[in-house]
Amino acid sequence: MIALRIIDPGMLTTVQDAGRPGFASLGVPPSGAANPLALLIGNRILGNDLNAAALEATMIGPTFECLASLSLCIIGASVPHAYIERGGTRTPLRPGVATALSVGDRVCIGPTGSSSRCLICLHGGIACQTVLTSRSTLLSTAFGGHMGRALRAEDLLEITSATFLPLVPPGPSHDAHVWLEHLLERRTLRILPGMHDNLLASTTASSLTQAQFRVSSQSSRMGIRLIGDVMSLADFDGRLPSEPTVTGAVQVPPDGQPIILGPDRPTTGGYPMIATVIEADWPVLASLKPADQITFQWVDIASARRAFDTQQAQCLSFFD
Amino acid sequence: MHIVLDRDSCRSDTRLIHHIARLLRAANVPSVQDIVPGSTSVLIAFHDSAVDPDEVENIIHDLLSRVESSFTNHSTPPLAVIPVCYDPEFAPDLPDIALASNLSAAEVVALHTGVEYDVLFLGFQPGFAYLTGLPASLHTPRLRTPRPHVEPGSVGIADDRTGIYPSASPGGWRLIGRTPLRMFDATRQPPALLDFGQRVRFVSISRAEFDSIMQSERFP
Repeated sequence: MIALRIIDPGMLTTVQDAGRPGFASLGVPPSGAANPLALLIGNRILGNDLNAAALEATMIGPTFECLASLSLCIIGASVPHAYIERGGTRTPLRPGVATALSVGDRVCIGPTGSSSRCLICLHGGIACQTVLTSRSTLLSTAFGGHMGRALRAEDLLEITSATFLPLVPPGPSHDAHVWLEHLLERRTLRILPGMHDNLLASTTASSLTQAQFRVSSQSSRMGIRLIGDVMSLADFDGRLPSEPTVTGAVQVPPDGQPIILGPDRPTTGGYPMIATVIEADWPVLASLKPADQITFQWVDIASARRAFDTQQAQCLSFFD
Repeated sequence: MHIVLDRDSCRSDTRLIHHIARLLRAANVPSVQDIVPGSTSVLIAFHDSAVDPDEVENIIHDLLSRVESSFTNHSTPPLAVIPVCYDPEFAPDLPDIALASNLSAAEVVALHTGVEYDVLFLGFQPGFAYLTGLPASLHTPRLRTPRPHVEPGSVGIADDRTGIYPSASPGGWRLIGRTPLRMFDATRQPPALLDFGQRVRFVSISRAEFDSIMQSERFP
């Protein structure tokens, strides 16, 4: 059923679900919500299927009008100025809780706040065509999601009609939001050795963890560009045969400024991959803003697995 | 988990990489999400949370230990024939390549269509196949400055590789023709026309044939 009409699309808003892993051998990246934890929490709060599609907003979120009774949950950012306008009155819209909306309500998300991205989850999930098993948008090739593109003014979006479950009251679910906000404050990215870590001179490997990098505004769902001291790689002229990439891979192009690959990355690449950011820190990658400062910290596989398992267990414990 | 082949190992690396990738696909190892071949490696992406990761690694190592014995060089990979129009309108870089290699435009086309290529792997873009086997006289470096926009179906050359852009994008490869085929369509089965391990041959077609195939492909 038609659920909402976009009035202002915000900076970059796309439909994303849990993504489409499994097609990288065709050159198709996984896409999906850049912050998988946020999608998990938002969908849990609403009683949705965990793969239900949401709107992913970037820096400045959308404004839309409700064309049906809805229930939504904003998750992944503080959205300090978000409000609902109903009959001329504005009430603040809190993230991390299920909120009931009526026909005619106008929702304004505004700046995302502390985090560069937030998800707007809707009860039932966004209903658009499934392409290659997913409703996620791949902007570079213009398929998936809402017509393969970012939302525009006047776009109409449908949600899957769902049996309306009772709303989860604030309490345990709000704790999940607070827990996530705290998690997203991390600015030390934990890394494992990458495929080409043999190219890191020992001096560079240790200086990597001493250096601070600044997030460039030239960042996107394809990758986060970092600005910092030029990284030099031993005995190397800048190009390698192309190899498969992963989300979180730290590539060093010829200019020595690292790129951390994101969910819409090219699935193969010829730049050296010297490290990989661990999966437990992907939510942090999703929320970094231009000018944020980050550092790196080497960890081992056991620690990386423990961090991810602990994080998942903690997240699910809010909904027991 | 990223399996990197020993770079000093035998020259038939590509066949071995494809064999490993196929073996892994067929084995249906639990919790494996993606098997992605590259130039000298195969990436196996799996989701830790479902199954004991050490157990999965053991299964994979076990499969790999049997790779040599199951590897045969005798299989004939399928051949894909790709129609390409080499008309000047679609081949802005053909004159430069002809000049650099001291050949006529017709000779460049004859060389490009005269050999069989192997699909190394897909990457860079959905459905973009890296092809190996380009005749040495056609090897040309990339453009210094990539074009901001390359039309879908454009056939290009870069160093010792040739390939086809499935979608519009910026591109630094030298363009010598265009195919009316839709190389990638996310809503079609199969989505990509080419897969790793296939052989490819190009066939020269006229502008009229190009237009007619485009019509029936209903290219957006």
